[in-house]
Amino acid sequence: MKNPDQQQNLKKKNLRLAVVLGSFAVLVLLTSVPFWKAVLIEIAKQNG
Amino acid sequence: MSTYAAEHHDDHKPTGWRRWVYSTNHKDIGTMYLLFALTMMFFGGASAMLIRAELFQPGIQLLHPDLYNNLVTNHALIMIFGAVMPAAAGLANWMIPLMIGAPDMALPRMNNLSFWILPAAAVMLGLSFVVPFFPGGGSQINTGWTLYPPLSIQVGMSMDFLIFAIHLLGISSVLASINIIVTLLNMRAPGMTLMKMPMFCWTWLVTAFLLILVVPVLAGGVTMLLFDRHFGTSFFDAAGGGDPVLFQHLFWFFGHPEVYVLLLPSIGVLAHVIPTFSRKPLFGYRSMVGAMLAVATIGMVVWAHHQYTIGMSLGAVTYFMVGTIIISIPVGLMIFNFIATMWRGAMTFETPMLFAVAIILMFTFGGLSGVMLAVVPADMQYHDSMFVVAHFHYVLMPGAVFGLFAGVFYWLPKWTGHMYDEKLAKIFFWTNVIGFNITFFPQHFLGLAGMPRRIVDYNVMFTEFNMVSSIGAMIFGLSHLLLLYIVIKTIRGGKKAEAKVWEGAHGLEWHLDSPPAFHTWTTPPAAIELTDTYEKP
Repeated sequence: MKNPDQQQNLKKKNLRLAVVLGSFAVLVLLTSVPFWKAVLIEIAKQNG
Repeated sequence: MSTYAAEHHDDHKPTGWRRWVYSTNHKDIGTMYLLFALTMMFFGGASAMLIRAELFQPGIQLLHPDLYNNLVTNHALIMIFGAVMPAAAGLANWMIPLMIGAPDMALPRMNNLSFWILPAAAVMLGLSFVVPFFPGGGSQINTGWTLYPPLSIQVGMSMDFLIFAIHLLGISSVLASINIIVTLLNMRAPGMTLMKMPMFCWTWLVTAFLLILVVPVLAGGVTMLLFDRHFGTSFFDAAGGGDPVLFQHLFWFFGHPEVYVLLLPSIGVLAHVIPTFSRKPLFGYRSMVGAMLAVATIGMVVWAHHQYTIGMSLGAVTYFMVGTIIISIPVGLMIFNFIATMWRGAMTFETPMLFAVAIILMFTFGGLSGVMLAVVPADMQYHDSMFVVAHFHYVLMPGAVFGLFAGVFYWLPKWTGHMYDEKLAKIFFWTNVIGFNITFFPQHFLGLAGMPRRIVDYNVMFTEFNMVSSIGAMIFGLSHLLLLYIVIKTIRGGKKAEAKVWEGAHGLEWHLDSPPAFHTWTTPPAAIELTDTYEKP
C-alpha cells in the first residue's frame, strides 16, 4: 500500500496526463481543418 | 492456491443498485460493459437476421425497402459502437488493472461516466430507429452507417437522434481511452517497464491513442452534418459551394483506423491465448509491438481506399493503393509470429484456442480479399458489391468478434470462479464458425457475379447463393443463444476454477483468486511475479 503522499501525487499525475490527453482530443476536433476553413468561408459569404 | 488470496479486510463492497450505478470498481464496470455489449449484440444480430430473411429469395417479402435500409444502417452502428467496442472496453476494464498490478483504473469516476453514457447513447440510437414509425417522425435512415450526404441531409429527424448518439458514443470512447492510457502509463507495478507489459495492454495502449486521434474527427464531421441540416450551412452541399466528398474524407479518416480499433484488442487476446495453449512464450514480442505501431501509423494515412470511385487523381489513388498494400506486411508479421508461437508447442485445443486458430485462418482469408480490394482497377469492379460485404465480415467477425469470444472463454473462469461447460462451448464454436462461413463465403461469388450491396431486391440469377447465405445466417445467429446459455450457466455455478485456470497461463492475473477479490493489488505485486510472463526475457 502506498503512503498518502504518494497516493496524492499519483492522483495529481493521473489528472495532469488526463487533462493533456483530453486537450489533445479537443485540439483534434477543432483543427479538423475543413471545419474552420468552411466556417471562415461562411462568415466571409455572410459579410460580403 | 493463490499468492494473493482475497484481502478480506479490504473486500467490502456496496450492495443493491448502488453497487452498479455508482460503481467505480473496474471489475464491476467491466462486467457492465460486457453485459451491455452482449445485449446490443442480440439487437444487432436480430436486425442482421431480418436482413437475411428478406434476402432469402428475390422480390420483397417481409420488409419495406425503407425499413430494410434502416436495418442495414442500424445493424452496422449497433454492432460496431454498441457491441464490439464496448465488449473490448469490458475486457480492458476487467483485465488491464489485474495484468499490470494496479488496484483500479487511474480515473475510476471517469470510468463510471464512460460506461453510463453508453445506455443513453443506445436509447438515442434506438430512437433513431423507431421515430419514423410515429406521426411526424419523418423518413427512415437509409444512408447506411457511412451517413454520406446529400442523402443524410435529406433524411428526417431520426438522423438527428443518430448524430447525437454518435456524439455520445464518441465522448464515451474518448473518455475510456484517456483512462486506459493514463492507467497504462502511470499505474504499472514497480518494475514493469513498457516493454515488459502484457501484449493485451500494448494493443489497448495503441487502440486508445488511435481512438483519441480519430473519434474527434468523426464528431467534427457529424457536427457539420447537423449544421447543414438545421443551421443553413453548406459544408457538404454542392449547391451552396460545399463538397459532399469532404464528408467522405472525414468519415473514412475515422472509419479506416476504426477497423484497427476493432481488431487490435482481439489481437491482444490472441497474444495470451496462443502462448497459453501452445505452452510456449510468445514469439517475437518486440516485433509484435513494432508491427502494431506500424499498423496504427500506416492505418491512419490510407483512408481513401474506401473512396477509389470518387474520381481522385492518379497520384492520389496510387498512393492510397500502395499504402494499403503495405499494411499487409506488419499484419502478416503478427500472423507469422502467432504461427511461430504454435510451432512445436505442446498444443491443446480448448475453446479459446479453437477460436484463435479459426481467427488465424479466416482473418488471413479476409486480409487476402482486402489486398484484392486495395488494387484500384480491381476495386472499380468490386466496389459496392456483395464481395465487399463478404470481405469486411471475414475481417471483422474473426478478427474482432472471435477474438472477443476467445477472450471471454479464456477469462470467464477467472471472472466468475467457475469453469464453463467445455463441451457446450465447443458445440458453440463449431456451429458459430460453420454458420459464419455458410453465411459469408457465398457472398464473394454474389459480389463477383455483380450483385450490389445494400439492396432489398435482386436479380433471380443470384437466388441460390442468397438462399445458402440466409440459411447460414440463421444457424450463425441462433448459435449465439448457446453462448448466452453458457455464460449464464457459468455465472450460476459449475466446477470451481483455480487461481491459475490454465496450466500454460502466465501473468499477474493468474496470481489472484478466481474470482478475484473486489479490491485487488492494493499491495503491488512482488518482483518475482513480474517475471511470470508469456514473453521471453
